[in-house]
Amino acid sequence: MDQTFQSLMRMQTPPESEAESLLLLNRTTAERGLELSWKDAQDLALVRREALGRSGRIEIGSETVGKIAAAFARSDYLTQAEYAPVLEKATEVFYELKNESEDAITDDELIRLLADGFERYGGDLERFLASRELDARLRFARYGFEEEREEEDDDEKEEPEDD
Amino acid sequence: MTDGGVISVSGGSAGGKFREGLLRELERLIVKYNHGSGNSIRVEQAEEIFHSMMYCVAFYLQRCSDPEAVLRDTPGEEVFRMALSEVRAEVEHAKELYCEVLRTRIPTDLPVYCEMLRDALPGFFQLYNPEFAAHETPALMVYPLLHEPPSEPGGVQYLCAYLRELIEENRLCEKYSRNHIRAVLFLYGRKYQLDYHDLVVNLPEVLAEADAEKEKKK
Repeated sequence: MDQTFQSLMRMQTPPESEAESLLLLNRTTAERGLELSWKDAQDLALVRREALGRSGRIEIGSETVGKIAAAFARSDYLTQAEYAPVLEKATEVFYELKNESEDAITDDELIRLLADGFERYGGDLERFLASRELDARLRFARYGFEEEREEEDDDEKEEPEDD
Repeated sequence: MTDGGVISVSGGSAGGKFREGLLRELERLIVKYNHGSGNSIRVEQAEEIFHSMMYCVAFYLQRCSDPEAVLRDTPGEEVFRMALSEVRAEVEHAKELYCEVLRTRIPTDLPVYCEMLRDALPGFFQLYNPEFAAHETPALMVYPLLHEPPSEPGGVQYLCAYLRELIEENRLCEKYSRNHIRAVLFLYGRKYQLDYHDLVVNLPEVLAEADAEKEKKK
């Protein structure tokens, strides 16, 4: 990486400030009984940075985690005990999925997709992440068609004509 | 300070302010690049956008009487915006040079020359994006020049250098008629057992060679 670019990137928000911003989320999520501790916020900030590094991405600001928290906090399946771990998992996969979709899906659409999936799978994010449904949605975002529909079209073509 | 198009920003509060301004501008460009659909981007793409910014800034600073003062006293965002404006103006200048190339074009049907004028050069203007890829040269200049301009810096600076050289070469060939040029190319192709339409040659060079051979035979 270019040295000047590297030095520029190092000027971005330091981790401590990021953790402080994450604590501000508690103002809106506290009414649902969901709060991040200082350690949770530090860990989440670290998870975000590591996820960005692993996915080879950089981010302007750190709104993404706030948006993820706001979307997931609406779920009745999310408890205080699971709050931080679920946010960490969702943050981890968010950047991977942005790459997989080749940025064809917007941040807001992807966050909505993950939060809806969490809800539909009864609070089991891992199960949703392993599902074909997620694959199909990403494929649709990327290519504009769904595999199932294509397979049905192929089946129709193979049917013999009536005499 | 600038050094061959590479900008190194000194430390201290002034250099820091310049870098801060550049970072804000880079952030703005990344959001624009994403069409507002996201705040993150692949590192490679961010680096390309950054290189484009640096290309513009280096281009602008080369034209400043006191680039050190500009870097010291002018916010990074303002420097970049003025720089981008200068690069865009250079693109307009390149279009004028292209018109002059067409006006002085060599009367030949040599495909490599004609396709460059008809396809490659207009293609550059269609594809060149000074905001996100100012350093790139989105066209393949296959037609060889007598004196090829250096490939770096690329972008519109390379194009202008290429066009200026092409205008000079067009003028060198003003004295030759279409028939004479065709005959020289035909004989040149026959010498190498090639159809002259397949030749990738520099026209003034081939014509000068033919003149020299003709002189020898006298």
